[in-house]
Amino acid sequence: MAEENLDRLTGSRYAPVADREQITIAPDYGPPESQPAWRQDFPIDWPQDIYVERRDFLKFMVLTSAAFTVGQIWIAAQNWYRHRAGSPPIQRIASINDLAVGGALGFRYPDEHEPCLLVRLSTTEFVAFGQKCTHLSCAVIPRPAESSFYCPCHEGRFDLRTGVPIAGPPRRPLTRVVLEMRGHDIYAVAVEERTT
Amino acid sequence: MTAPLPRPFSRDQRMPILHGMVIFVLVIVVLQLWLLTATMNAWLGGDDSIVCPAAAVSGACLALNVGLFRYLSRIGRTQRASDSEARPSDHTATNAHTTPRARIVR
Repeated sequence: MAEENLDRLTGSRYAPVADREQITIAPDYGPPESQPAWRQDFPIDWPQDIYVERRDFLKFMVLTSAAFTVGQIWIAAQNWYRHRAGSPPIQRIASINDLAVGGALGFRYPDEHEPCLLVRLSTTEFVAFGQKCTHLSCAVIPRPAESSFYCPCHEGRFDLRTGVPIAGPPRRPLTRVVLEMRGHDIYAVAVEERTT
Repeated sequence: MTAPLPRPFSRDQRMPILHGMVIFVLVIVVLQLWLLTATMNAWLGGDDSIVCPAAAVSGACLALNVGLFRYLSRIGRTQRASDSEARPSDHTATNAHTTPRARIVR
Protein backbone atom coordinates (compact mmCIF):
# COMPACT_ATOMS: atom_id res chain seq x y z
CA MET A 1 0.00 0.00 0.00
CA ALA A 2 2.74 2.45 0.95
CA GLU A 3 4.70 1.51 -2.16
CA GLU A 4 1.64 2.13 -4.34
CA ASN A 5 1.14 5.58 -2.83
CA LEU A 6 4.80 6.32 -3.34
CA ASP A 7 4.50 5.28 -6.98
CA ARG A 8 1.48 7.51 -7.38
CA LEU A 9 3.50 10.49 -6.15
CA THR A 10 6.73 9.85 -7.98
CA GLY A 11 5.95 7.43 -10.76
CA SER A 12 7.12 3.85 -10.69
CA ARG A 13 10.67 2.85 -9.99
CA TYR A 14 11.19 2.10 -13.69
CA ALA A 15 9.28 5.11 -15.08
CA PRO A 16 9.78 7.96 -12.60
CA VAL A 17 8.02 11.28 -13.10
CA ALA A 18 9.82 12.88 -10.14
CA ASP A 19 13.12 12.33 -8.39
CA ARG A 20 12.44 9.88 -5.58
CA GLU A 21 15.63 11.03 -3.87
CA GLN A 22 14.52 14.63 -3.55
CA ILE A 23 10.88 14.66 -2.52
CA THR A 24 9.23 15.02 0.80
CA ILE A 25 6.51 12.47 1.34
CA ALA A 26 3.81 13.15 3.90
CA PRO A 27 3.40 10.54 6.68
CA ASP A 28 -0.01 9.51 5.27
CA TYR A 29 1.40 9.29 1.71
CA GLY A 30 -1.36 11.69 0.63
CA PRO A 31 -0.98 14.08 -2.34
CA PRO A 32 0.56 17.49 -1.64
CA GLU A 33 -2.76 19.27 -2.27
CA SER A 34 -4.36 17.48 0.68
CA GLN A 35 -1.58 18.45 3.08
CA PRO A 36 -1.84 21.48 5.39
CA ALA A 37 -0.08 24.66 4.34
CA TRP A 38 2.51 24.45 7.10
CA ARG A 39 3.73 21.14 5.73
CA GLN A 40 4.26 22.69 2.33
CA ASP A 41 6.17 25.57 3.91
CA PHE A 42 8.26 23.38 6.17
CA PRO A 43 8.74 20.11 4.35
CA ILE A 44 10.27 17.17 6.17
CA ASP A 45 12.13 14.53 4.27
CA TRP A 46 10.59 11.52 5.99
CA PRO A 47 12.49 8.74 4.19
CA GLN A 48 15.73 10.51 4.97
CA ASP A 49 14.58 10.98 8.56
CA ILE A 50 13.90 7.25 8.91
CA TYR A 51 17.24 6.44 7.33
CA VAL A 52 19.15 8.68 9.75
CA GLU A 53 17.17 7.32 12.72
CA ARG A 54 18.08 3.71 11.88
CA ARG A 55 21.66 4.60 11.12
CA ASP A 56 21.90 6.16 14.59
CA PHE A 57 20.37 3.02 16.09
CA LEU A 58 23.05 1.00 14.29
CA LYS A 59 25.70 3.30 15.76
CA PHE A 60 24.26 2.72 19.24
CA MET A 61 24.37 -1.05 18.72
CA VAL A 62 28.02 -0.83 17.62
CA LEU A 63 28.78 1.10 20.83
CA THR A 64 26.97 -1.60 22.82
CA SER A 65 29.11 -4.18 21.07
CA ALA A 66 32.20 -2.20 22.09
CA ALA A 67 30.98 -2.14 25.71
CA PHE A 68 30.61 -5.94 25.73
CA THR A 69 34.12 -6.31 24.34
CA VAL A 70 35.45 -4.01 27.06
CA GLY A 71 33.69 -6.27 29.58
CA GLN A 72 35.46 -9.31 28.14
CA ILE A 73 38.80 -7.55 28.32
CA TRP A 74 38.08 -6.58 31.92
CA ILE A 75 37.45 -10.26 32.80
CA ALA A 76 40.71 -11.23 31.07
CA ALA A 77 42.56 -8.54 33.04
CA GLN A 78 41.06 -9.74 36.32
CA ASN A 79 42.01 -13.29 35.40
CA TRP A 80 45.58 -12.21 34.76
CA TYR A 81 45.63 -10.41 38.12
CA ARG A 82 44.28 -13.53 39.86
CA HIS A 83 47.02 -15.70 38.34
CA ARG A 84 49.64 -13.12 39.23
CA ALA A 85 48.55 -13.13 42.86
CA GLY A 86 49.39 -16.85 43.04
CA SER A 87 48.26 -19.35 45.65
CA PRO A 88 46.77 -17.96 48.87
CA PRO A 89 48.87 -18.24 52.03
CA ILE A 90 48.28 -20.93 54.67
CA GLN A 91 46.42 -19.43 57.58
CA ARG A 92 45.49 -20.79 61.00
CA ILE A 93 41.78 -20.41 61.65
CA ALA A 94 41.10 -21.89 65.07
CA SER A 95 41.73 -24.75 67.44
CA ILE A 96 39.42 -27.76 67.41
CA ASN A 97 38.32 -26.98 70.93
CA ASP A 98 37.23 -23.45 69.96
CA LEU A 99 34.17 -24.76 68.18
CA ALA A 100 31.31 -26.92 69.47
CA VAL A 101 29.54 -29.41 67.21
CA GLY A 102 26.97 -27.49 65.15
CA GLY A 103 28.77 -24.23 65.80
CA ALA A 104 30.19 -21.77 63.26
CA LEU A 105 33.09 -19.37 63.31
CA GLY A 106 33.71 -16.41 61.01
CA PHE A 107 37.14 -15.67 59.59
CA ARG A 108 38.65 -13.89 56.61
CA TYR A 109 40.57 -15.72 53.91
CA PRO A 110 42.59 -15.30 51.73
CA ASP A 111 42.44 -11.55 52.43
CA GLU A 112 40.51 -9.08 54.55
CA HIS A 113 37.81 -8.65 51.90
CA GLU A 114 36.71 -12.29 51.81
CA PRO A 115 34.60 -13.31 54.81
CA CYS A 116 34.32 -17.09 55.36
CA LEU A 117 32.60 -19.46 57.75
CA LEU A 118 34.02 -22.51 59.48
CA VAL A 119 31.35 -25.00 60.57
CA ARG A 120 31.80 -28.06 62.75
CA LEU A 121 29.52 -30.81 61.44
CA SER A 122 30.53 -33.51 63.92
CA THR A 123 33.35 -34.22 66.34
CA THR A 124 35.68 -34.99 63.45
CA GLU A 125 34.18 -33.13 60.48
CA PHE A 126 34.81 -29.48 59.64
CA VAL A 127 33.85 -27.53 56.53
CA ALA A 128 34.55 -23.95 55.50
CA PHE A 129 32.97 -21.84 52.78
CA GLY A 130 33.04 -18.27 51.60
CA GLN A 131 30.25 -16.27 53.17
CA LYS A 132 29.28 -14.36 49.98
CA CYS A 133 26.17 -15.69 48.32
CA THR A 134 26.91 -16.54 44.67
CA HIS A 135 23.77 -14.69 43.59
CA LEU A 136 24.44 -11.10 44.69
CA SER A 137 27.14 -11.47 47.37
CA CYS A 138 24.92 -11.06 50.43
CA ALA A 139 26.29 -12.71 53.58
CA VAL A 140 24.91 -16.21 54.11
CA ILE A 141 23.93 -17.40 57.59
CA PRO A 142 24.70 -20.96 58.78
CA ARG A 143 21.71 -22.93 59.97
CA PRO A 144 23.08 -26.27 61.19
CA ALA A 145 19.66 -27.37 62.47
CA GLU A 146 18.34 -27.17 58.88
CA SER A 147 21.65 -28.41 57.46
CA SER A 148 21.92 -25.35 55.23
CA PHE A 149 23.35 -21.89 54.70
CA TYR A 150 20.59 -19.33 54.33
CA CYS A 151 20.78 -16.11 52.31
CA PRO A 152 18.23 -13.63 53.68
CA CYS A 153 18.35 -11.32 50.66
CA HIS A 154 16.51 -13.57 48.19
CA GLU A 155 15.73 -16.71 50.20
CA GLY A 156 18.66 -18.64 48.77
CA ARG A 157 19.82 -21.85 50.44
CA PHE A 158 23.02 -23.90 50.18
CA ASP A 159 23.78 -27.34 51.50
CA LEU A 160 25.75 -27.10 54.74
CA ARG A 161 28.03 -30.02 53.91
CA THR A 162 28.83 -29.29 50.25
CA GLY A 163 27.89 -25.63 49.68
CA VAL A 164 25.80 -26.58 46.65
CA PRO A 165 22.72 -24.39 46.02
CA ILE A 166 19.48 -26.17 46.92
CA ALA A 167 16.89 -23.38 46.76
CA GLY A 168 16.40 -19.82 45.56
CA PRO A 169 18.14 -17.87 42.81
CA PRO A 170 21.82 -18.90 43.34
CA ARG A 171 23.18 -21.21 40.61
CA ARG A 172 26.81 -21.65 41.64
CA PRO A 173 28.05 -23.32 44.85
CA LEU A 174 29.69 -21.33 47.62
CA THR A 175 33.44 -20.89 47.39
CA ARG A 176 35.01 -23.78 49.31
CA VAL A 177 37.95 -23.21 51.62
CA VAL A 178 40.26 -26.24 51.71
CA LEU A 179 41.10 -27.14 55.33
CA GLU A 180 43.99 -29.00 56.86
CA MET A 181 44.31 -30.34 60.40
CA ARG A 182 47.67 -29.90 62.08
CA GLY A 183 47.56 -31.29 65.59
CA HIS A 184 44.66 -29.55 67.29
CA ASP A 185 44.66 -26.60 64.90
CA ILE A 186 42.66 -26.04 61.74
CA TYR A 187 44.35 -24.29 58.82
CA ALA A 188 42.97 -22.85 55.60
CA VAL A 189 45.30 -23.82 52.77
CA ALA A 190 43.46 -23.03 49.52
CA VAL A 191 40.31 -21.64 47.94
CA GLU A 192 38.26 -23.65 45.47
CA GLU A 193 35.86 -21.90 43.07
CA ARG A 194 33.30 -24.20 41.50
CA THR A 195 30.67 -24.02 38.77
CA THR A 196 28.73 -27.13 39.83
CA MET B 1 40.34 7.33 4.55
CA THR B 2 38.52 4.86 2.30
CA ALA B 3 38.01 5.69 -1.36
CA PRO B 4 34.39 6.44 -2.34
CA LEU B 5 32.42 3.82 -4.20
CA PRO B 6 32.52 4.21 -8.00
CA ARG B 7 28.73 4.00 -8.29
CA PRO B 8 26.59 5.54 -5.54
CA PHE B 9 23.57 3.72 -4.15
CA SER B 10 20.18 5.39 -4.44
CA ARG B 11 18.00 5.86 -1.36
CA ASP B 12 15.85 2.91 -2.40
CA GLN B 13 18.96 0.76 -2.49
CA ARG B 14 20.47 2.07 0.73
CA MET B 15 17.45 1.38 2.92
CA PRO B 16 17.47 -2.45 2.49
CA ILE B 17 21.24 -2.42 2.99
CA LEU B 18 20.76 -0.54 6.25
CA HIS B 19 17.99 -2.90 7.40
CA GLY B 20 20.15 -5.92 6.65
CA MET B 21 23.00 -4.42 8.62
CA VAL B 22 20.77 -3.60 11.58
CA ILE B 23 19.51 -7.20 11.77
CA PHE B 24 23.01 -8.62 11.39
CA VAL B 25 24.50 -6.34 14.04
CA LEU B 26 21.61 -7.08 16.42
CA VAL B 27 22.25 -10.82 16.15
CA ILE B 28 25.96 -10.30 16.80
CA VAL B 29 25.30 -8.06 19.82
CA VAL B 30 22.95 -10.66 21.34
CA LEU B 31 25.65 -13.28 20.76
CA GLN B 32 28.17 -11.05 22.51
CA LEU B 33 25.83 -10.57 25.47
CA TRP B 34 25.44 -14.33 25.83
CA LEU B 35 29.20 -14.78 25.52
CA LEU B 36 29.86 -12.19 28.23
CA THR B 37 27.42 -13.74 30.72
CA ALA B 38 28.68 -17.27 30.04
CA THR B 39 32.29 -16.17 30.43
CA MET B 40 31.57 -14.29 33.64
CA ASN B 41 29.73 -17.29 35.09
CA ALA B 42 32.54 -19.67 34.18
CA TRP B 43 35.26 -17.35 35.47
CA LEU B 44 33.52 -16.75 38.79
CA GLY B 45 33.23 -20.53 39.06
CA GLY B 46 37.00 -20.89 38.70
CA ASP B 47 37.06 -22.01 35.05
CA ASP B 48 39.38 -19.59 33.26
CA SER B 49 40.02 -21.69 30.16
CA ILE B 50 37.50 -19.78 28.03
CA VAL B 51 38.41 -16.26 29.12
CA CYS B 52 40.95 -15.51 26.38
CA PRO B 53 39.10 -17.24 23.50
CA ALA B 54 35.89 -15.45 24.48
CA ALA B 55 37.66 -12.08 24.55
CA ALA B 56 39.14 -12.80 21.10
CA VAL B 57 35.75 -13.77 19.65
CA SER B 58 34.11 -10.71 21.17
CA GLY B 59 36.84 -8.51 19.68
CA ALA B 60 36.27 -10.11 16.28
CA CYS B 61 32.53 -9.43 16.56
CA LEU B 62 33.27 -5.79 17.39
CA ALA B 63 35.61 -5.51 14.41
CA LEU B 64 32.87 -6.90 12.16
CA ASN B 65 30.32 -4.43 13.52
CA VAL B 66 32.69 -1.48 13.16
CA GLY B 67 33.50 -2.60 9.62
CA LEU B 68 29.81 -2.70 8.69
CA PHE B 69 29.22 0.72 10.18
CA ARG B 70 32.20 2.18 8.34
CA TYR B 71 30.86 0.71 5.09
CA LEU B 72 27.53 2.41 5.77
CA SER B 73 29.29 5.73 6.37
CA ARG B 74 31.15 5.21 3.11
CA ILE B 75 27.87 4.74 1.25
CA GLY B 76 26.47 7.94 2.76
CA ARG B 77 29.62 9.89 1.91
CA THR B 78 29.47 8.69 -1.67
CA GLN B 79 25.82 9.70 -1.91
CA ARG B 80 26.52 13.22 -0.64
CA ALA B 81 29.40 13.62 -3.08
CA SER B 82 27.16 12.45 -5.90
CA ASP B 83 24.43 14.94 -4.91
CA SER B 84 26.80 17.88 -4.94
CA GLU B 85 28.17 16.89 -8.35
CA ALA B 86 24.70 16.49 -9.83
CA ARG B 87 23.39 19.88 -8.64
CA PRO B 88 26.18 22.46 -9.00
CA SER B 89 23.69 25.22 -9.90
CA ASP B 90 21.99 24.89 -6.49
CA HIS B 91 25.21 25.91 -4.81
CA THR B 92 26.04 28.73 -7.17
CA ALA B 93 22.62 30.32 -7.61
CA THR B 94 21.50 30.38 -4.00
CA ASN B 95 22.88 29.89 -0.56
CA ALA B 96 23.23 26.14 -0.10
CA HIS B 97 22.52 26.34 3.63
CA THR B 98 19.12 27.96 3.16
CA THR B 99 17.97 25.82 0.25
CA PRO B 100 15.93 22.90 1.51
CA ARG B 101 17.11 19.65 -0.02
CA ALA B 102 13.63 18.19 0.06
CA ARG B 103 10.57 19.62 -1.64
CA ILE B 104 6.93 18.79 -2.09
CA VAL B 105 6.04 17.18 -5.41
CA ARG B 106 3.56 19.27 -7.30
